[in-house]
Amino acid sequence: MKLVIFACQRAAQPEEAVDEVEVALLRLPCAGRVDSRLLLRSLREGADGVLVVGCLEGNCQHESGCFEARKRVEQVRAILKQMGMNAERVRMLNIASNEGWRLTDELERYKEEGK
Amino acid sequence: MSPVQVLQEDRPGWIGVFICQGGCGREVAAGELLERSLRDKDVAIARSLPCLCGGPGKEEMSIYLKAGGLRTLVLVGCREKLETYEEMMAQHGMDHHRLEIFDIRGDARLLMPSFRASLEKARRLVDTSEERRPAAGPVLVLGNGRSALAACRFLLEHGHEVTLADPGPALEETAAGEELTVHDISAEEMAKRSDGRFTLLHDAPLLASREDAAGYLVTLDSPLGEAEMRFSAILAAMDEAMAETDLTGYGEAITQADLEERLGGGWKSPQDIIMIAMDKEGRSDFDQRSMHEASHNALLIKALSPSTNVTVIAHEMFAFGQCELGWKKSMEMGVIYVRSEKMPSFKNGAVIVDDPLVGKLSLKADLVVLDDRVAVPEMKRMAGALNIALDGDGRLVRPSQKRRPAALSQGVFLCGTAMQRRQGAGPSMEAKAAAAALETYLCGERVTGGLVAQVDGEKCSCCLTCVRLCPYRAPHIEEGKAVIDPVLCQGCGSCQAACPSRSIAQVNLDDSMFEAVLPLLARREGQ
Repeated sequence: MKLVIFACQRAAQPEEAVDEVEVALLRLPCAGRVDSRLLLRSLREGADGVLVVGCLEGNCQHESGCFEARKRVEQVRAILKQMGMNAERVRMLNIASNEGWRLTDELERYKEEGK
Repeated sequence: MSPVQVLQEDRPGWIGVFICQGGCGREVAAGELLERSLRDKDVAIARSLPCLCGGPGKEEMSIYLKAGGLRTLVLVGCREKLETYEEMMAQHGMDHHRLEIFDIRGDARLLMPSFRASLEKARRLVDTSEERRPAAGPVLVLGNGRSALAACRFLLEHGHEVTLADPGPALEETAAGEELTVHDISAEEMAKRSDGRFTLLHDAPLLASREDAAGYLVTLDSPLGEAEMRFSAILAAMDEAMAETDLTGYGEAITQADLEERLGGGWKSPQDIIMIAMDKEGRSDFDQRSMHEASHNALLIKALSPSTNVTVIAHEMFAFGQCELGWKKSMEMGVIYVRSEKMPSFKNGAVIVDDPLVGKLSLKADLVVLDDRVAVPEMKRMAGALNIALDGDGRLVRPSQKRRPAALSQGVFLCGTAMQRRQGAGPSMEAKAAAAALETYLCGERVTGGLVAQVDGEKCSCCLTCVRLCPYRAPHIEEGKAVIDPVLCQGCGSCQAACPSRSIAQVNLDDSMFEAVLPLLARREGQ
């Protein structure tokens, strides 16, 4: 199980390793930095899932970053649906930097779904 | 030659470049970068040291920092050690926001071991830090009293040019003439000691202000007519002013200030003194000042003549910090505190407190002492010009920290006692905090570790996507192409992701770096 996580540097970062889930973390200055091409590219390179982690909505340092990110994630999910792929492989989460456990939970969930 | 000499005589610059030679296992060939840095006249010192975050390298770097003169640091090192570096800068009195880190382990790891690319990154970083010169210009402080002076003092200490515009004819000062105390300094003395960086204008209310790319264009009304001036940032530091207390209807009443004066001059106090610590409408505005003054003076009377009966009538028992000790002590010494919902009345030499449960309580009074009143100055015009809301009492409304203060322009800061009440650190500390925030606005926040977006003019189709998207208004259109102002850009990268013609790239974090690392995943699959 391979996951690519695009995380805003101010949002939560993966803290605990989850068994059987390999994580490639790419830290971004802001979640708004992800574009649809990067997300699709990660899937093409063999990632089982792509997770975009942004700050809580309304709490973005750059005001609109996490909305921009969500917009792009929704775009990519629409593309995946059209292609007949599982749209759930790409997800966006809003997790504050002190809520690392939520990210760990999400990784566990990925693992369950992947089985 | 000692580092002090290097800094002060040979090179008058203010950027320090330090390169970590990788105690943690990565080596950087620093020669080219060092040479290039030293060619820049603003770079005061460029050194490559064995390891920056600990050991002899750290010690050597702190010697250079100690020598003073450096204002910005460009470090080629590990971003994980950011806190260590910030702490070091703070220890040596530098603003820790002015640190640019080129991360050899984090971002650059993506392109390692392509060494040339990483050097290129470092070189660009030096360039961008140069472009990001602090826009420190003159600061306008609007104020009438101590908060404004405290803020001015802080800003002058930090080398800013300050204009203090007082809407009234005179400042309310606690220090006069050449008198110097720890926290207070008179405006006159401040002007004398600041080498002409401090300007004081009396009778100069703010008429209008307009924000543009270079700061604020401000119109002040001065005795010589309207004057237009340009400032980089504005600090509104208005204080409440002392107001006349209405003394009628309470016999021969005096105010707390009068009482204090009399106590100082060997005054013989009458037998029964009643202090009323509230205003005429019986409204308690939760003022620390009322209770503080009353309990302080009651304590003083009790100490001078213990046989005097002192009663304090207050709406709210409230003291601030250490004043609570004085309040408790005065109770121990026999001062009586009476709580009353409304202003008690006065008849035939007695103060009558009307309590719904106890009934009417008559207290004999030889002397009634009323509260000193303070009034919020008239700020309608100023608030309008700065786009700040006023509440029902005419106080400035504090912008909420959580909700973005959309109405309040970025370079306008508030402090002083004439804004909405908050139980905080006290007016002079709040003034200093606001001044510090202003300083951060002037030169701190705009440093992002060299991440700025740049437009490739050839690809740009002038679709205005970035202009609409950018929260910092960094992009603008020049000759049909978008141009991003590197000083305003905060490096969030939203524009790069949104650009339909893919003409925007962040200089130190472009897509090629991600593309370099993504195939690593696939490779791992094969293993």
